[in-house]
Amino acid sequence: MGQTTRRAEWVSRLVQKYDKALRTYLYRLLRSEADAEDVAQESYVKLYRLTQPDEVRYPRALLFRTATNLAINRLAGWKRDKMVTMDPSELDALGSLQWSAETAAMYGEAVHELSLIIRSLTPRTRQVLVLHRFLGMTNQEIADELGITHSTVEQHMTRALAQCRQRMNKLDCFIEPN
Amino acid sequence: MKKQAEKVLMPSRHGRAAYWLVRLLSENLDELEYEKFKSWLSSSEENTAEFASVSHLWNSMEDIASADRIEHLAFETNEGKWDQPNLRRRFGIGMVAVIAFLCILPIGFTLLSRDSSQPLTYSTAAGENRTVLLDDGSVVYMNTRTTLSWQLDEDMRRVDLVEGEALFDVTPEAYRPFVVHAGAGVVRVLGTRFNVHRMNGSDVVVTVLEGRVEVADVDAHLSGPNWQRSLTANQKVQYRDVGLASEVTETVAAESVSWRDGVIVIDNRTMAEIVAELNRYSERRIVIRDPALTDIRAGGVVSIRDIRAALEFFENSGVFRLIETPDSFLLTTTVRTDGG
Repeated sequence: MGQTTRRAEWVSRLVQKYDKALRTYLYRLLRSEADAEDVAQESYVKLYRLTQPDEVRYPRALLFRTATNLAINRLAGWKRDKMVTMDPSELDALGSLQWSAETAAMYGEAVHELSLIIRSLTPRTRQVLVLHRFLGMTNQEIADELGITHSTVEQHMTRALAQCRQRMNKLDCFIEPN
Repeated sequence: MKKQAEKVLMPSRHGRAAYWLVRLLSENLDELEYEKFKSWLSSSEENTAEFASVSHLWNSMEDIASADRIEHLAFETNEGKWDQPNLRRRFGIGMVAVIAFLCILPIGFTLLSRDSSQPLTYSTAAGENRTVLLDDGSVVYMNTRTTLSWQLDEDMRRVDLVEGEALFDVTPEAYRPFVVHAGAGVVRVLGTRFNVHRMNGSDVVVTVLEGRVEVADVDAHLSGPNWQRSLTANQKVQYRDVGLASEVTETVAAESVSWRDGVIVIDNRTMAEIVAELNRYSERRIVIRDPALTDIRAGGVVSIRDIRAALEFFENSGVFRLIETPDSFLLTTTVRTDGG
C-alpha cells in the first residue's frame, strides 16, 4: 500500500473521530462557522503532510494543538514571520509535524504530571474542573448541581486552569513539545 | 453580566489567559466581550503565547486517561464499582475511567482525598536525582542519597528529611504551613523556595532562594525556642544536634543548588572536603591514599553526573594522581615513580 493511501486513510480516520469535537472547539475560539471550517481543514492538510502517521502516538493532541495554533494566529492577526517567533511549536506546524518518540514520551510524562496536579487542586476547584472538562457539563449545569452561582463556577475554572498552568511551568516539563 | 465577570481579579498572565479561555468556553459570552478578548490577545506576543499554552493545556487534559495506563488497569479491576448505568450511558467508558482515576465518586459528586494518615517515603540512590510532585502542588527536587517522607494533613504539610539534600519549591497556602523536619531543627514556611542539606553527622544547612523561612529547634513548640533564625533570599544557617545554630550568613544561594544542573561549585576547599562532597554522588568510594593530600586546597566547577571526569579535572590540574580499582578511586600524590 502506498504512502499516500496510508496517509489519506489516517487523516480520514482522524476526521471521522474528532471532526465534531474539533469544530465545536474551534467555533468557541473563533465565533464563526466559516473560520472554524477553514481552520479545521487547514489542520487536516497539515497532518496529511506527515511522513509517518503510524508513529504518531497522540493524534488527537497533535490535531488540536495544530488547530489551536492556527486559530490563535488567525485571531491575533499575526503575520507569518511573527507566528514563528510567537510559538516554537509553530515551527513543527510549518515544517514536519512529526513528533519524535522522545517528544511523545515527554508529552506522556507531562500529561501524567498534569493529572497529579489536578488531583492536588483544592476539592471544590477540582470538582468544578472535572465536572466541566471530564463530564462535559456546562457551567450552568454545574452551578445548578452544586448550588453556586455561574460566576463562581467560572472563578473555579479559571483558578484550576491558572494553577495547572503555573505548576506545569514550575516543573520545567512544559506541556509544549518542541 | 460583563461587570460581574470583570470582578474576578487575575493579575498574572497565566490568570488572564485562563480567564479568557474559560469565558470563551462559557455559554454567555457576547460580541462586545469577544472583541475585548481579541484585543487582549493581539496586544502582545506574550499574551498570544500564553493563551496558546493554556489552550494546549486544556486540550491535553483529554489525554489523561489514555496516558495513565496504570489507572486504566485500576479501572478495569474496579469496573463493577463504577457500574452506574446513568453515568455509563451519558459519558461512556473512558470518562468513567477518568473519574475513577481522579478519585471522585460519581454519585453525589463527593470527593475523596488520599488517606494521608500514612506518610509517603521517597529515596534516591548514589548519583540519582529525582523530582517529586507532592499532592499539595509543591515540588521537591531530591539530590543524591536522599530519603524523605511526606505527609499531608488538614492543617499541616510535613516533610521529614531523613538523610541527604532537597530543594523545596513550596506552593503558597496561607492556611496550611509547610514544615521540614531535619535533625535538630524545623524549617517552617508558607510558600517559597529553599534548600535543606542534612550532612554527614548531624549538621544541617538551610539555604533560602526565594521568600522567607523560619528555622527553629525541633522542640520549640514545647517550651519556646532555644534558638530561632529568620532567613530571606540568599541567606543560610547551619545547625547541629547539640542545639547549636550559626548566625545567619549571606550566601549565593544559586550555587548551593547547582546540583540540580549536574554540577557543584567548589570554592577553595580542602581535598578532604572535596572528597567528602564527591563521595555523596559516587557509587565507587573515593579514598585519599596519601594524608599529605588532605589539606591541599582546590576549586572549580565539576560534574556530579560523571565522577571520574570530576576527579580527572583535579588530576589534570596536578592536584593528585588517580588510581582506579573496580570499586574505588584512590588518590595519591603526583610524585611519579618512573621505572627509569
